[in-house]
Amino acid sequence: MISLFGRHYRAAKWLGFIAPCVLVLLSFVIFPLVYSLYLSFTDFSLTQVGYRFIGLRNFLDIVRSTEAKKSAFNTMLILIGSVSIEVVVGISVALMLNRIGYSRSIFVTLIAIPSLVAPTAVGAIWKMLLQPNGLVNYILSALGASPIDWFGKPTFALFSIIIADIWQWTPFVALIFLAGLTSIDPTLYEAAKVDGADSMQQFWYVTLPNLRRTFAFAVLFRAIDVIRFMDTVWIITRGGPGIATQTAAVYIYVQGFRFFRIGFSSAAAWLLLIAVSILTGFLLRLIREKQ
Amino acid sequence: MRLRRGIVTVVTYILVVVVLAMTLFPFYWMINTAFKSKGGALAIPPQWIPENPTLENFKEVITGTGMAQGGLRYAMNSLVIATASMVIALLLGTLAAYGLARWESKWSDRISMWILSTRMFPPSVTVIPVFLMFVRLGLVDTHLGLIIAYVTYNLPFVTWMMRGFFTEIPAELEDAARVDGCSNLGVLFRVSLPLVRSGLAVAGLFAFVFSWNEFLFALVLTRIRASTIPIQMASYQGVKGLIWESMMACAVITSLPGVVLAFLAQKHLVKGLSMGAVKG
Repeated sequence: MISLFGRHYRAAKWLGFIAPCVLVLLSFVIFPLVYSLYLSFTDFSLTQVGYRFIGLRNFLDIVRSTEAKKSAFNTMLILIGSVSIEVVVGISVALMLNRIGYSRSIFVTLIAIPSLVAPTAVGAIWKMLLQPNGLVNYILSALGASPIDWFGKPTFALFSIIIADIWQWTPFVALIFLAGLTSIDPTLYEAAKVDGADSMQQFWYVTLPNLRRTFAFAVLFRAIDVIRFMDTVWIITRGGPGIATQTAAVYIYVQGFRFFRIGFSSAAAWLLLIAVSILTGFLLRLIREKQ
Repeated sequence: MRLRRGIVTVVTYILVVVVLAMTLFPFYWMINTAFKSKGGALAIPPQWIPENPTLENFKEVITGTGMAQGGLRYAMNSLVIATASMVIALLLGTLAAYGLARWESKWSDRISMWILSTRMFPPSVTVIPVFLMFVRLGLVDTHLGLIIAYVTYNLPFVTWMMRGFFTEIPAELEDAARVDGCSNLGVLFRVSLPLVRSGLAVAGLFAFVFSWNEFLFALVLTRIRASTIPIQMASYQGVKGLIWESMMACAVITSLPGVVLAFLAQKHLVKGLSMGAVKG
């Protein structure tokens, strides 16, 4: 009886430390989430007084809307295009950084800068570099290639966003892999050497398998970020030309705050949340396996 | 064999320098352009270094003349909001982290996971209801409103990072203080917190930069009075005949905290950028 009381007393003591943080998160994350779900079943709009429950109509409208589908598709293209390149280049850069001993920390610091700088600034820089008469096109024509209308053609507009994303986030992915590389048990390499493995075989049979968790983490962080991602797109193209580069996050913002369709926008946001949760769950399972 | 290893090392260094150059060149171009006279940004052939270098663009951004609307107010708002939200997030986050690190219970782990998961939600989902709540509470376009939003945004990160630092402190140190009659709060502030002060500084720096950089909540929750510097960056976008030199001066100011952070937080970069979750 006394020990039971003691345990509860201890719990109550620690809960006092935790409570303020939990209360803030409940009020400004969990309550809004529930409120958003509630709104998603209504036709709530900032331009009309009052609202009605319309059941699943918002969700059905989104699934049928070509613009919504296009936005989801764009998000997926950017996700696949940028994350795959970031992972491949990121691993390579990590391997290089892992080889150099002298002055590694200064290289790491300098390489980390893009991921810490505001995406709005990064977007502005690339918007300038990719202007029709900007530096990239100047270099292209100096090399004998024809200049590219980066923001006028849908495909290239999408490319320009992927380029900015790759430039900003590859170093971050490289740093994650560098952390993964340095945490591989060195005795594994010793054992491989004893078995006569050359450096290529060591890479295939020791390095890569041991980077699996790191890989899943890197993809998880980047995927969550790309999906929420709107700053860079907003600065570079505002989703244009037309809706060629409109991502899911931009779509939700435009529906909610340009067309004031709060209910509809909330429904779209919830669909996005569900998609993120499925992806996160899948990647987390990959991480937990074989731990 | 030794020669081969030497060659590999040299090639590696060369490749790293190439990567570094590609990483830093766009920043060079940003700074370069910020000092050019009007019309210099897109001149052909390009000005690799500014012809007629000038401080005019920075003056425009600071005084709010020309294309730069609002002037220094945006940067000041960013400074005030990022600092205030950092202090509050550190306070609440450290308390929670300490409680979670010391409370031995399965609930401690569950609550920690839950706190981390709140950071994973796309902000697009919460920004609409938070906006409606803020309309009710009269918090739209106020400093307080954005401070609340950023405290919420940074809390999971600060809590998670500080919890990691606290679990590394040996229990004996704290027990000694407890025997001397310190309360839990006393132990936290007199013994544990001083031991993790470098970690606290890093968590604070990251919180500051995340708030400084944040865009979506600033875009939705502010109009003019409380707008932050990313909004100033975006305000150039809609302008016809965009003035690149002035925009880049604004970009230089916007980038500064992130660059400073990279140098100050060296050892904790990966941990900070990935919310301290890499350790698993």
